[in-house]
Parts: sequence; structure tokens; C-alpha cells
Amino acid sequence: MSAKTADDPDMSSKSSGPNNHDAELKARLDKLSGAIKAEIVHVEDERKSAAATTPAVGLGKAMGTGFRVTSELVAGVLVGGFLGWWVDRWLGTKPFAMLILLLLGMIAGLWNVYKIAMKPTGPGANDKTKS
Amino acid sequence: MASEAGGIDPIHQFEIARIGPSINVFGNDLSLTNSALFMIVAVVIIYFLMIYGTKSKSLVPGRLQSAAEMLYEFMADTVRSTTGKEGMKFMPLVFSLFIFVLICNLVGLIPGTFTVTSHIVVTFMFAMLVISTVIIYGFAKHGTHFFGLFVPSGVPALLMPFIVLIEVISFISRPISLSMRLFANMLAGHIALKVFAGFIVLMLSTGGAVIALTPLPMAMIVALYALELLVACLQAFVFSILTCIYLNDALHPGH
Repeated sequence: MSAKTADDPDMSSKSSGPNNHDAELKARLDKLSGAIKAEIVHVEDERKSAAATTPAVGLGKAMGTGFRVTSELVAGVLVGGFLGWWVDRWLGTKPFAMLILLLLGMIAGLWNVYKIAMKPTGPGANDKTKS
Repeated sequence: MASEAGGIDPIHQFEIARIGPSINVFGNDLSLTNSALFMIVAVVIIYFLMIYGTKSKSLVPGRLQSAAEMLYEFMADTVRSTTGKEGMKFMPLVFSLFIFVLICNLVGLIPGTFTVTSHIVVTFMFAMLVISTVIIYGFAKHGTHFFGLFVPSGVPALLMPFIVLIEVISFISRPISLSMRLFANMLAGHIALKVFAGFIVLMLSTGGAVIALTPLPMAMIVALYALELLVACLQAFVFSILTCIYLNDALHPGH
């Protein structure tokens, strides 16, 4: 903040006392952060309205997500079961690997659904959420 | 089963049949089948739409040109918004997959045709194409850093092997879920249509007062057809957007 005042000769010359100066700066800060907040809200609103411009697009998006979620759930169980069956046949540990991997497959399916629900998908979304 | 029950076998439409002479190349059966025929039909339709449609290149597009342009713009927007600018190099792959799946789904809805995408072999090969692109490109661009996809950050060391195993399973399940969703939707939709059509035949052959009820399954078919039209387009879109999401992983693997 102090660097800013030094750079701004206009501000420092106008204000007479240190108290007055601080108050002026504070008012300015409030005004600017208010403007930033308004801009963020504005951008968010615009993004939301762009995401669902028409009810048909919203319906399509929702159905697409629905298809994704169901198939993720089923695929997780299938892959877990198949891997378990394969490991069992390979190592001769008849029921155990299948039981464990089936459970892990279910968890993986649910984990994928959780990620669909929570993660923003977009360029560099991975970097933003995980760094 | 079909003839003796007096109804219609709903599975019969998915049978692969050879068309024309049998062609054998070094012991491999390469004869033209109905599935291959309708893939060719789809490709011809795509060629017509894309090449003939954009031939005039007029500033104010005609019907075909605007259809071709809208499809392209829509897909380009999807790729750009999902994978960013660097993802546009995959645009040819994504767009080819999208338009081929879309046209195959739509052609399959015409009565008497064959639905190429209702066979899991076909959809699984699409999915493997996508996943192998992701793996090969991911390793070529990021090397071993690509394994970071399986290691999320901020996980306690105790849970790490467990989480990595789950991430690996979820990665393996990607081609399965990608291919199964498309195949199962097309298969189920076409079977449902045939089953309701079979009801009409059964009711008519029963005779009597039951004939008065035949408009009910007919109305159901009309409703299902509308739904299938939506599903056909939606599945092509979901397939391509998931392709984009997986390619995004290859472009930016987490850590």
C-alpha cells in the first residue's frame, strides 16, 4: 500500500494530515474491492447464463451427465470384477482377489462420480484444483 | 424363435450378415457385411455433407453449408472450452469421431437399416483409439510425469497405495464406460422399439377386442422414437466431450 502512495503524487499532495490520508486511501480501497467483487459476480452470472442459455441445452447437459454417471458406476464394478477374476486365475487365490478388487472397483466408480460432481472440467482444470 | 412365436425377434436386427460374394485374403474373411455397408453409407453421407455442403463457400450459407458449419463450430467450441487452445490439434480426431458416431446413430434410426454403433466391438475400438491416443501422447509429451495422473496430491502417505490402485482402476474403466455407454444406449433403444412393434403384431394376431388397443404401443413407439433421436445425438456429443476430457488429461496431467 505504501508503495502505491509513493507512486501516486496526486494523492499524497492533496491529503493534508496522515489521518485524512489513511481514511481517503481506505475509502478508495473499499471502492476498488467493491468493484472487483461486482465484476466477479457479473462474470459468474454471465458464465451461468451461457451454460444454460436455453432449457433444451440444459436438458441435454443434464442427460449427458446422467449417462456418464450411470456408466461410470457400472464400468467401475465391471473392471474391478474382471481384474479380480483375472488375478485369481493367475495366482490361484480363488475368491479373495475378486472380492477385494470388486470392492475397489465399486469405490473407483463412486470416486469417478464424485469427481464428475466436484471437479470443474476445462483447460488446466487439473492444475488449478490439485496444485 | 421368430417365426414359431408369431412375434418378432428383437435381437435379429443386430445380426451380422454377409452381403455379396465372400472375399478371403490370406485366410481372413474380408467380405462385405451389413455393418461394413452402413459404415460406408455413413462415410458417404459425411462426405456429401462436408464436401458438397461447403463447396459453394458462400458468405451467406445455404442449408447444407450452414449445417456443416454449425457442426464444425459446435465441436470446435467444445474442444476449445474443454482442452484449451493446445487441444485444437486433436480437433480432427474428435470431430471425425463425433460426426461418424452421430451419422451412424442417426442412420440406424431409419427403419430397415443397421446400427453400426450397437455393436460393442465397434464402440470399443473407438474408445481404444481415444485411450491409446491419450496414453501415447501423454507419454510422448510428459514422459514419466504422465504417471502423475494416478497420484493425486494432498493424500496421506498411508492411504497412497490404496488411492493409486483406485485411480488405476478408474483409468482402466474409462474405455469400458466410454464404449459401453454408447453401445448399451443404442442397443437398448432399438430393442425397446422392436419390442413395442412386436406388441402390435401380437395384438393384431390375437384378434377380437385387443385390436382396439393397438394405438397404445404405436403411441409408445412414436414417443420412444423421439427419445431415441435425442439419445442418438446426445450419445455422439457425450462420446466426443469425454474424448476431450480424457485428452485434456494427456495435455495437462495433474502432478
